[in-house]
Amino acid sequence: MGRQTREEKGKEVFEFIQEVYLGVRTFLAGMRVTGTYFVNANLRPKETITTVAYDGSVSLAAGVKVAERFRGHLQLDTANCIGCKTCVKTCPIDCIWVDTEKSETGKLHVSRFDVDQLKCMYCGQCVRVCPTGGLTMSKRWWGATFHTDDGTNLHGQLRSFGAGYYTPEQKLENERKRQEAAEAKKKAAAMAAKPTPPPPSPVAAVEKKAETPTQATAPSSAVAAPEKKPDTPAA
Amino acid sequence: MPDLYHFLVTHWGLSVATSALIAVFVACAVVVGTVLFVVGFSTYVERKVAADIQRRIGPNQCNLGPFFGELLRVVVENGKLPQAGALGRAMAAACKPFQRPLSVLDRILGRLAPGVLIFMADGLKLILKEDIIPDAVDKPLFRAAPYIVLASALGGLAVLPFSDKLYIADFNIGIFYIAAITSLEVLGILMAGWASNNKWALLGGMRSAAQIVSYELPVGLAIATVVLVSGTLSMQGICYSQLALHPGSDWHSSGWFWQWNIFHPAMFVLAPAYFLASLAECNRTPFDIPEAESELVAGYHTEYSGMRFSLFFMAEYAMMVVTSAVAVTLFLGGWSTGLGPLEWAMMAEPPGFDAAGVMTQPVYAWYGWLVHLLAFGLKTYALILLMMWIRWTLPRFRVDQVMGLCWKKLIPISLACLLCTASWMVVRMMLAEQLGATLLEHITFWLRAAFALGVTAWLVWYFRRPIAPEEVAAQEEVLAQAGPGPLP
Repeated sequence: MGRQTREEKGKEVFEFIQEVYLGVRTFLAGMRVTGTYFVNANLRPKETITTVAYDGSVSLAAGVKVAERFRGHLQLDTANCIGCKTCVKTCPIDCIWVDTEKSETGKLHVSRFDVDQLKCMYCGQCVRVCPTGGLTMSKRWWGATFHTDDGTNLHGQLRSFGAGYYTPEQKLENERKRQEAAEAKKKAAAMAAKPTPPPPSPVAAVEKKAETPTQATAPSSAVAAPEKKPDTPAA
Repeated sequence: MPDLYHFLVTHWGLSVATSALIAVFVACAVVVGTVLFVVGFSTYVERKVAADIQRRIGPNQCNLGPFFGELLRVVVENGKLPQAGALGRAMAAACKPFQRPLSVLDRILGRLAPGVLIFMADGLKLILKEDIIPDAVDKPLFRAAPYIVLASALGGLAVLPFSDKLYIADFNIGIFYIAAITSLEVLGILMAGWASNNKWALLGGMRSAAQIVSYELPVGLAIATVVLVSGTLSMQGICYSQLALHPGSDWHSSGWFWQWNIFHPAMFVLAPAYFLASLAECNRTPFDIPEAESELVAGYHTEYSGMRFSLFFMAEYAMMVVTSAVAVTLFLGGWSTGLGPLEWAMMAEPPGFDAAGVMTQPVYAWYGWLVHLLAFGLKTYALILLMMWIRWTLPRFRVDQVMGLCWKKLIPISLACLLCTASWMVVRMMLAEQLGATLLEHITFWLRAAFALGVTAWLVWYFRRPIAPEEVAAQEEVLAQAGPGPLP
């Protein structure tokens, strides 16, 4: 390293001052942005504060504004779905389940479109690859429930967003259908077992076996309803 | 405190030792209690400031209602039960009249400062939590570290000039004492990091040591510059010197805010440098690399829980209070209100000059200390708010950036300011000989007034000016380039 000439020294000092000036200027600009937000949030809280308390006092019908590009829960227009299952293949965490059925006309219909809401990370890959544009991300943001069962398949049942969000009435209805089905099975089993009453332990086993399939098929029956009238999903 | 001591000696006739003991104890209890309350309140304010800057609501749940109202309701309901005894009924009767006033108060407080009791709830929670001490730690050091950190932060309170009469002590080496005792904090942090037997904690402690040792230099240079101007190390002396009285000057030209040190041209550069360095000294963002949670789990207090953790937490905020108060004392006139006529009106006895030409300090009327306390508190809290504002504006620096900022920017700037101030004092002496002291006083007074008012006006204009159309256009262009996002 040779000796610095006077010009080099002067240049260094100039650069030092330039750097400090740049730092101060950008710092003030940043402070101005945050300061404006702070003052506005105190002067006009109604307009500026965009979050709402997530404490149960807000209902889905509260008309909460969401951003233009917000990604909420997945939503499927069943009439538009051709059952190609590209979304299932694309999903990086495998949280979509799709079953398809062929109708009498030979057309492929989706009979089940389930999303494990506890897994979904709202990346939007499935929406990007959907060839018909039937799969969209809705503006539905409310994901809180009082039971973990609602989000997972603990009951052998996933939360079915293809058929729209389950309202409490729908949930009750589903529950009632499931119980009816279970009772019907039980009755059938009892009827079948009546002629020759078997020992108690096999009965329990039969009952358990009889129960599980009904529960597993419950969502598909729930999805089957919108197939008949495809306008229902998630109003 | 000295007033209290003299009062005890002369009026109550206590012995010197007893009255000194009582005076010290009372003064320390009052100051430490107040500051710890401010510390707790600051945690709430910090969350609220963060929420406002990020357009969130912030803490809003923990009001009087859930806190005390529920307690009252339970007691009253209990009294109504058939199996309630005489004591239960008496307690219910005692609590019932407080229910209505409490609900009214709750509504008012909930509107003014929703969720303000969260810091009490937090403190209660931290006290009740289990104090976990891992097996592999160095136990004596691990236990002692939080106390050292908190004690060094609170130790700085001893010489703060809260008001012209209200202070614990006024050493003649006050500012030196503060610089010494607040940098003891690094000892506690290093102890915590070492004793935890955890690599993240050790890294945090080492980073803190490197950072605080480096940033002592700009702080020391800033203090030296102020001492050069004030001619004293005593905190009260520095405050009095910023009333800006010099031999030959008229006392009616004193007490204005442009006579504070910050509006001295060299100090105007130095004060922000000092403020940044003090941010680094109390490990605040953007210099919080010792507890950078994205790199080191929680830094030096990774292994701490419960009350010991909260001691570290309180120490950080107490350190904020102390460094802000020191910055106010050094650069913002201490307890001076900065409004000339108000200061003159409060002076029972205007300052003068004794036979040797040394300034005698003004004596304030009985209510003077209250106004000064208010001014000092407001200025200190404004600086604390500035710290919070900076925290929620700037991202965290990298380690080498922190060191680079200190060694390559702050230290040269502070040194240059020290040299400028020193040479200005020599030039000033020469000018005073040429022009006469009075004329020089008048010239500097009006120049500083113009400078201070100009700077204030520029800052107000800068932060209040409407956003220019081209700025909006630039933002929209950026948004347009970003496109509608990955989703249709």
